[in-house]
Amino acid sequence: MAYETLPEALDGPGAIRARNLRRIGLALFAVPVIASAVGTFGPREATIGASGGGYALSVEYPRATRSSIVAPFAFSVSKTGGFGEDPVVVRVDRAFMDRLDFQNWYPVPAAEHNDGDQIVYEFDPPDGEVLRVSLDARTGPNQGYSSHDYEVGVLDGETDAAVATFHTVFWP
Amino acid sequence: MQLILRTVVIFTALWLVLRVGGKRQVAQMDAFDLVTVIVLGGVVTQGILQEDYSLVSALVAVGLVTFLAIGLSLLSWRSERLGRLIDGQPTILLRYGQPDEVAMRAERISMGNLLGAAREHGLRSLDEADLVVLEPDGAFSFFTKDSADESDGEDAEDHRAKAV
Repeated sequence: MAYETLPEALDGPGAIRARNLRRIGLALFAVPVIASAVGTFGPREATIGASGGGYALSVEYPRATRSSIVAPFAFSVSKTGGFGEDPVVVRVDRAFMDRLDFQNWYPVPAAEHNDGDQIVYEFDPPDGEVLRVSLDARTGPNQGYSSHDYEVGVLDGETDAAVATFHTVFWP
Repeated sequence: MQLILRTVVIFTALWLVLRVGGKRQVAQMDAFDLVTVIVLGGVVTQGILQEDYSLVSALVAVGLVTFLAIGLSLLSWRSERLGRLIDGQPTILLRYGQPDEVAMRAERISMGNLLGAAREHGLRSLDEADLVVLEPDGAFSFFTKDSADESDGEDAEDHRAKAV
């Protein structure tokens, strides 16, 4: 039996069909490129504020981030007249912290503990009226896509004094 | 945006490497050239993605490299002058059975390379070759004296047919 080595050639309509399929494929590739150009995949950050109970809270958070890149996260808590001898107690959603791969807090919390879905940090009171805290963090590797609201709150005793809600999109 | 800029810069640098590396670098790779290409691949990945291991960044880089490559081929197709600049030009290495040593030196093609390419094309001797061209993609094109004679014969028959 003889085997023909010549391939089956595309005719005109077949070639156009193949070209159109290639164009669809290219358009699909264009989607992530354009999305990246407009900053959809981050890193994008934003700031949100909240106040209550004599406290003012300002949170700088990642609006969009992706696996392994820097995730800016910092907050400042201010209280007119200063904090006195009381520690500054801040809670952060555990679901948010679980998605970060972090080195350290600046300043380092004096204490921390889990409280269900929250992680509660206690910071030594600053000399002035403002405590500024930043986290040296990256988005953890092996992330799936998620788009959720998270909360940071300043506690006054057992209750929330000021709560800031922010939205972060994590890209794989 | 940083990722896009890095990809464009690295792509341009790679194109430049291939252009200044010469045709030999493209297709006539020896073992060391192969190692160079592998090392280059690793360095390029680091340059583009740096510490970014995300899936979306890899997709963006792959997509962008594809578009840049298509863009270069479109430019090359639209303008002959740009095509020469982007892809390079073929080089005649042998004419009428005589190797052009100046061209071979310029393309870093040794007599051993030429003889090897001739063997791959089924030639026992360079005397059988009428013309050898090193194409911009690094491939050798061989025109044998037999084919030149046949071509001449066909031309002569065409002339005779036209005369009739």
